[in-house]
Amino acid sequence: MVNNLVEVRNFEKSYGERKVVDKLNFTVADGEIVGMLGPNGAGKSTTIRMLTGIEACDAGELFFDGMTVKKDRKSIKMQIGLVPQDIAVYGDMSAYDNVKFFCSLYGFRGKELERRVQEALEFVALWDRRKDKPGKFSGGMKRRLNIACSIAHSPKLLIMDEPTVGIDPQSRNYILEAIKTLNRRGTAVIYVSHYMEEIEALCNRILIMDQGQLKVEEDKDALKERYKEEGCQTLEDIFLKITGTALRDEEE
Amino acid sequence: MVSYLVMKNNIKRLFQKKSTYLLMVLIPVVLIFTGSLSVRMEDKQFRVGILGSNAYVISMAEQLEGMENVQYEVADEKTINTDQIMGKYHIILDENKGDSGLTKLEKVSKQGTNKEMVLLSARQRMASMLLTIYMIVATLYGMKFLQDKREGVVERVMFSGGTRCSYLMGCFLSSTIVTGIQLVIILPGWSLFDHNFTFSTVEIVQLFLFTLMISNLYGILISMISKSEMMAGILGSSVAAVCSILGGTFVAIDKMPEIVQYLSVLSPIRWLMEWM
Amino acid sequence: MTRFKVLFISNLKRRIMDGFSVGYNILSPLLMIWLLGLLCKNMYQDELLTSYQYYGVVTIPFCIIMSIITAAYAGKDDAFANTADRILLAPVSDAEIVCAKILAEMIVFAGCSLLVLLVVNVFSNIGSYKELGAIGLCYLSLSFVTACIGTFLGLGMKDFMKMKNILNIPVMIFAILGGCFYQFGTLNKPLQFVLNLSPLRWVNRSIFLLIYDKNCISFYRLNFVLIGIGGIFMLLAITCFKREEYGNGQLPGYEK
Repeated sequence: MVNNLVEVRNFEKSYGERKVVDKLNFTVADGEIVGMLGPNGAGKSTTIRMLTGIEACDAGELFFDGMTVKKDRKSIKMQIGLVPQDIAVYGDMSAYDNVKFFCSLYGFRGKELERRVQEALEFVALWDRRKDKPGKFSGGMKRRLNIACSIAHSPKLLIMDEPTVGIDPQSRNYILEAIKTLNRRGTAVIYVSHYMEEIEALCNRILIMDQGQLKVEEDKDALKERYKEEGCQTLEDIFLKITGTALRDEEE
Repeated sequence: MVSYLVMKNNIKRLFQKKSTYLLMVLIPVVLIFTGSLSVRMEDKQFRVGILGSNAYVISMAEQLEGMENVQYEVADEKTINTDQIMGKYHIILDENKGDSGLTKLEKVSKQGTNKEMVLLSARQRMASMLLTIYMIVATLYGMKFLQDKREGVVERVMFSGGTRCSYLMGCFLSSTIVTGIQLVIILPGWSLFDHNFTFSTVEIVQLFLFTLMISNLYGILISMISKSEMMAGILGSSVAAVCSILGGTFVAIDKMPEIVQYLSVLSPIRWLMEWM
Repeated sequence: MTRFKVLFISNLKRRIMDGFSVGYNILSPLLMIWLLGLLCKNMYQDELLTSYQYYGVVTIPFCIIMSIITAAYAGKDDAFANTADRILLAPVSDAEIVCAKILAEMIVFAGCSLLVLLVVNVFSNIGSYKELGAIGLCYLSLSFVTACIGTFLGLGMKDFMKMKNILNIPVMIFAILGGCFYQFGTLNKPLQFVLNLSPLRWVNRSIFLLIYDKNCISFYRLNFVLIGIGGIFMLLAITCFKREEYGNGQLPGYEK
């Protein structure tokens, strides 16, 4: 029996009259990598922000490892890590100090804190550059530091919002391998990306959102098998078939 | 042609913002309020505090009644020094210290007050505050250039054959026009609200042209030398404040130390005060 | 408590390293005191105090109040660095985020102001060390109010950038009415009422009463009121804390 780490029930969110998330239901199992796809403006970022508690949802419930947000907010936050799309580190602090600061917000102190910081920086291959400030880093290094800040507290669930945007293939490959390693150690991952090859390489299950609604929640191989008969060879073909090819101009 | 197009576009952008209209209302209100306040406070030049027994107070009050432009009240011994420091009283008549205060007061009162000088100094002060405020406002308008530079629009204009100078000229012209419209509303509006500020036509034209040119040149200069909008804002307001202080807005120039009087020649506000 | 300590120390370090905090609270008052003191030197020859002593007292509270803008920007610091979401995601409460910012700002503003006071005292002998200590407490209360109001504006209001531009006007009016640029007095009751609307007038008056009239009742009453007002704004800052505003790093024209 599969243990559901995350259970989202009927998430709803509106900005004024515009409904951006509409009765969203999905689950993420323990140790699973779930790919979240959707065109611009589909509601992916809003869903992530509601999942992480950064934004409140208008309606719906979130269950995390048997806990509810209403009762166990702090405990749930301890278990979640977010790798945001923008580089979210302090430019005037060294890599070490950045990771240390964000890890200490989760209550870690002293030798335990130092151990975690070292582990996180070694994991992303930035230990040798720990004293340097992010301003001196390349794009790939900044992305890796971004990840280090999110994993130092060993979250059970890691949400990654387009973590490989704008970096070279070597750095991207390193990050993807690192995600697989994390997953092998037991971390569940929600991976948001527009790069279909990454989703294909990493994910077990696929969620496709469009216009605030969940269109598909299915195992990756089963999905591909199902759409093979309709002439869809790749995941991208499936995605375009489901969401259409019309341009999506995101409203401000 | 580029300057004209930039000017036209900037005017459109400025009038689309509510803050342009807000400034047209807020600035005259603030100036009239502070100006009227300062004139009323300078009306009676000498404020006297009397400290002593009841008999002494009555005796002093009788003598002060006969003097022109003197206001008096019984001072509080517990706060007498503070009241003097904060400018509540010019002179203290203290029973324990004899009549030296009264002698000084009689001498000064005989010289009389020159109401015309009071009004002139209040008008000069208002004019200098107007110029100071518009130097800061012009910096805000000049920051448009920096905003456009940051957004890459200036570069786009340069790609299409324009130059940085023509873009700057357009910004200068647009801010001059908007400032001019605001001044046309403010200057006659002053005399409507307070008859103490009735300027002659020549004075209005002088003030209008001087404020218009100096403030907008200043705004463009600040935007040319600043690297960011924030730096322009801080530099613009700081330099305007220093020019205002050196120019004699708060302290009369003849009362400043000699070296500062020489320095004040650099302040456009001093040029305005001397011109008026 | 330990998470609060982490946030507080981080904010404190950032405020100390922040050029604006140091500039507005050390360089700016020193420059103003020197300039205005020099300008008005001749006007204070027969007075109880020198121009430097006068401006040494009235300028520092004005500069503390001006730091409302710095405090509001400090509230946006994390948003501008794109790290606000990380902090929101962490198991820290809104109250901890707000209070850490307020306390860090308060300490830096008060510390800088006290340093300026001590420097000015070396050259101008404003008062005894006991009096300076009491004035330092006043600066602490004033810094507390400033930090609370600034943080409330920065984190609790949607149109922070517009508010910030408008805020300079009442602060300048209070400064003029409070006698921060020149002595402003009257015996006219209605005008006296107008002058008393300026909080800076009360602050300056209380400090002068303490030093020159040895009257401390007004001074302690003032501190009590300042702490009360600061407390109200602190509560407002916590209750009106907007996560969207805390995370909104779109500050056009704000570049470090």
